Amino acid sequence: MVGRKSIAERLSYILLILIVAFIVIPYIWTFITSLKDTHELYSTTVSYLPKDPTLDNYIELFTTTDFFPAMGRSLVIAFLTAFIAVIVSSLAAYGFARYSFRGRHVILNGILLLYMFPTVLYLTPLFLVFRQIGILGTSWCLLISNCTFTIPFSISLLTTYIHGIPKELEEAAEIDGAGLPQRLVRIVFPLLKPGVVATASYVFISAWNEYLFAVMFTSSATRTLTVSLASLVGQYDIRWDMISAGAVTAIIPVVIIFLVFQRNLVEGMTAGAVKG
Amino acid sequence: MKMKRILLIALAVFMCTSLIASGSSESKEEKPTVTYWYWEDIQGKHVEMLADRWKEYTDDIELILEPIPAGNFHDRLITAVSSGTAPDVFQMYTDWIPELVGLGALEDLTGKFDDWEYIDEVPDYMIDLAYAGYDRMYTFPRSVLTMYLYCRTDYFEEIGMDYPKTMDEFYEAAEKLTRDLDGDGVIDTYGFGMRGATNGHSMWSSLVFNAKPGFDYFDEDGNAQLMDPAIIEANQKYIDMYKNGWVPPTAPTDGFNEILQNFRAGVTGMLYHHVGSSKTVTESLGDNVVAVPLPAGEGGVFGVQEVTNFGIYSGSKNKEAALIFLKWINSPEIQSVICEELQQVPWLESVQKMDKFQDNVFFKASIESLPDSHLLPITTTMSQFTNMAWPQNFQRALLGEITGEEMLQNLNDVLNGV
Amino acid sequence: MAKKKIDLTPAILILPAFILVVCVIIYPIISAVVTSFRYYRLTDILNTKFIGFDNYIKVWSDDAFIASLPNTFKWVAATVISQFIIGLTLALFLNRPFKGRGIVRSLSLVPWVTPGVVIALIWTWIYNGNFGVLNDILIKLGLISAKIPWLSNADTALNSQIVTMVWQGIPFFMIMLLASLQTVPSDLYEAAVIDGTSVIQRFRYITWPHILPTVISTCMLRVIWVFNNVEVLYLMTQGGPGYNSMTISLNAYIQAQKSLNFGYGSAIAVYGTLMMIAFMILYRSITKRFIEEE
Repeated sequence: MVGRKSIAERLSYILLILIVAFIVIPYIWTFITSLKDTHELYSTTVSYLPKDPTLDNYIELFTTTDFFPAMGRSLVIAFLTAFIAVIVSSLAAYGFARYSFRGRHVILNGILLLYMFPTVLYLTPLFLVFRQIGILGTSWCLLISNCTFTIPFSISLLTTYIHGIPKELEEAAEIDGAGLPQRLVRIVFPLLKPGVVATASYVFISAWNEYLFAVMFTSSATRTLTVSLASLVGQYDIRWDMISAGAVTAIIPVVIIFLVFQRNLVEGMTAGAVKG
Repeated sequence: MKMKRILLIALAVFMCTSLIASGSSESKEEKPTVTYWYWEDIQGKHVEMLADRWKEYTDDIELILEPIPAGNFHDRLITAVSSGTAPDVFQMYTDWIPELVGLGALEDLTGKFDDWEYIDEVPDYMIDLAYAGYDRMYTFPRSVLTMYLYCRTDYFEEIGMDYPKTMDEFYEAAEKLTRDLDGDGVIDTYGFGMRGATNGHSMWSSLVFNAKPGFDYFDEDGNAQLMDPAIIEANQKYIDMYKNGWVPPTAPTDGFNEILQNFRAGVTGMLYHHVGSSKTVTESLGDNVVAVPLPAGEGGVFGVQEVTNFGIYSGSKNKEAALIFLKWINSPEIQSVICEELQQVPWLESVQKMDKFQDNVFFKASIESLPDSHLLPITTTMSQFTNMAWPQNFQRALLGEITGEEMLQNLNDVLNGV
Repeated sequence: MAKKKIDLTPAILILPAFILVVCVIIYPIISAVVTSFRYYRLTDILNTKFIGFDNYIKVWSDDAFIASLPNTFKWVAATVISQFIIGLTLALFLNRPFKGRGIVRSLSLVPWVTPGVVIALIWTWIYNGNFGVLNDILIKLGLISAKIPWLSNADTALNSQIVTMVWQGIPFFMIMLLASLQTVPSDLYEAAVIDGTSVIQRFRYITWPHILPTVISTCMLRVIWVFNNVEVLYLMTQGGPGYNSMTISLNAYIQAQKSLNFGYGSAIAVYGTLMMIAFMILYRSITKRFIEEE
């Protein structure tokens, strides 16, 4: 960049600041809210700095609700979902990318079509399916449903990546006598890493944010973070202070993970974007 | 890059431990279990207390307490019933009885409490509630709450009015309490906390149906009768409160939490609710709040009860154990603790007479008004009315998208199952 | 690999995904579509019966459904377009080096990892008509004179929720577009700078054609997601006040999950799906022409 700044450039920075403010301010406000006591919270004069900042809301949230166990379950489910969905989808994506067979395009388009059915449509039938196989109320329901609902997009993402991996490498390995499993493990997966990171992040976030399935399929012993937080909206009270504390705490683990993987995420998406 | 590896290992360890932890809680004992669904308030202590006391009471039956978020309770319960996965015992509102009876979900409890040692202490009106108009007793009462009006003593002093006894006084107070205190052209306090969101119909019926003596949702033949001229007029007055600006402008979507917050913060001068919020209200407002009976219209007072019951699932494998649990949780000892903790009105005579309830003005007012208040109707159309039709039509009437009369016509149709 | 014999390898590779999709998506869809032709209320399950197209006909006399049609259009169009514009602007910024770029990039990902439930709750608190911070800020800035009940007014309820949804969706656009921008060969820009082209020209003739495919596919995904979203709307206003923020998906959700009128709710959802499919066909044929022109 040139050292001298034009007016246009200054204006553009103001625009950037506005956008960042729009993104950040709700969270800052949530954080401030989480430090207020009930009295200050429901005061008609809004205070921007808590007069008497307190961590009581956090303590109450951690000790009287199932916040941490629920967060643990959410993390485990999100990780396992990402793990399984990536494996299942990359196998399928490999099948779609490397083999040509009749009906390939029909199936690929059909998978994307499935996306257009609203989630609402599945909820009750799926509930009955899970009851039939006897896993209702367990975390398996969420694992299976989250995994499946992210598969269509994962397959389409990963198919693009696999197209980007040169066939020649594999053909060389095949001549050397490597079977399909070896080729997959030794050549395809390592080269697929950016795609895997991007896909896994997408699946992880979808599973982490999921609420509609969780509220229907889990019991109080298996419920996830989203359900636990939503239950702070009680019958006789709604604890904005505790909800805020929960909102602040809930994003910490995911933010840490993302800070670590952020570069890979953009790289992964970039690799996918080459082919568009 | 090291950071990443450490993080991954930490996560792997964490996941394994949490999986193991979740898998190790299986018990081997063969003793009967009772699963109890209750709607979740933040009062977690109430649950721990119940669990501990139950263990003291008996070791032979294992109690599994299952909190269900209040907003999802109805749909979770009905779905569970229709898929055969309902809990042994559950909390429920009286107006769910027809649905659950229709599904064959409720165990017939008629005569099951005859041998209960406290049966003589149960007032007749509670037995009536348990029957809810059926000739068999499908539920047993859990709690009953009666509505009254909370008023700000200091605000009423400032406007120089007495607490409203009639609807005219109520509207007058609402108007006078709507004030711009600092002269900046912005309203600082409003008259009344109007509830336009789900469940606002109980407040609405209290303040509209009192226009005609003996009026209720349905006539003797079971037909909805909302299109009565007196009711149309009273309904319009109620809607006009919003149009006149005597209630906060958020009224159309205000639920209970919002009207409570507004009253606590001094935004409104009157609040319609029951003893359940007395603790919260006095905590914030101290002596500046008082509870008075609902105002009377041409037809007297239309008091409303909010009744919750216990039901035993007809498909339960542990009905006997569930019955033991019901008898225990309604015993004077437990009832007095629950009522105190959860701010509910006790209904066993010996509990009502306890000093801690008689000395508290809010409890006392509730206990005294119990015998004369109405139970909202119990029909199959009621849950559709409560959950969707009432809030949607009332909100549209407030916003002027339909007239008050159209609102009543639509609601009448829903109640009649048209 | 074309003509060897029949190679079963791809079938085996695809099988796990296929089984999951059939059991967890296709079977429930078929079962729900069948249900949409029945009177099926969980609260009245003993009277379940086949009623042909009754549910589909009844929909057209349902005020909530009629009101949901324009709302859905507005909800999806306004949300996706705003997300796209802000997301693209942000991505363009983040594509050039500046001080604090890493922080800005990390911060702008945060809404994406925030569950919809939490988003709905924190924004409801911000919009709160009496204690909300938004009113306070606007009054202090002198932009409004009296507090606005954002979620209770007919004309602000849906718009407020659109803003919330825009906030939630910026990161996804940002990251997809940023990834795409980073693949634009930098020598193209260098050449263009030497030729003395303006910033706008460079965007129009180099950047835009390059990122267009990503724009098109990302918009399509977002349209589907925003269309299907119910948790934000349900938790914030339940479609109210009146029907002012009712959308097709939300209506289907409330009918099926809250009123437990599953047959009717399914019929609404099927209508929604058909509209979505029609839209996609239109969208694809239009965007195809776009890409060809570029």
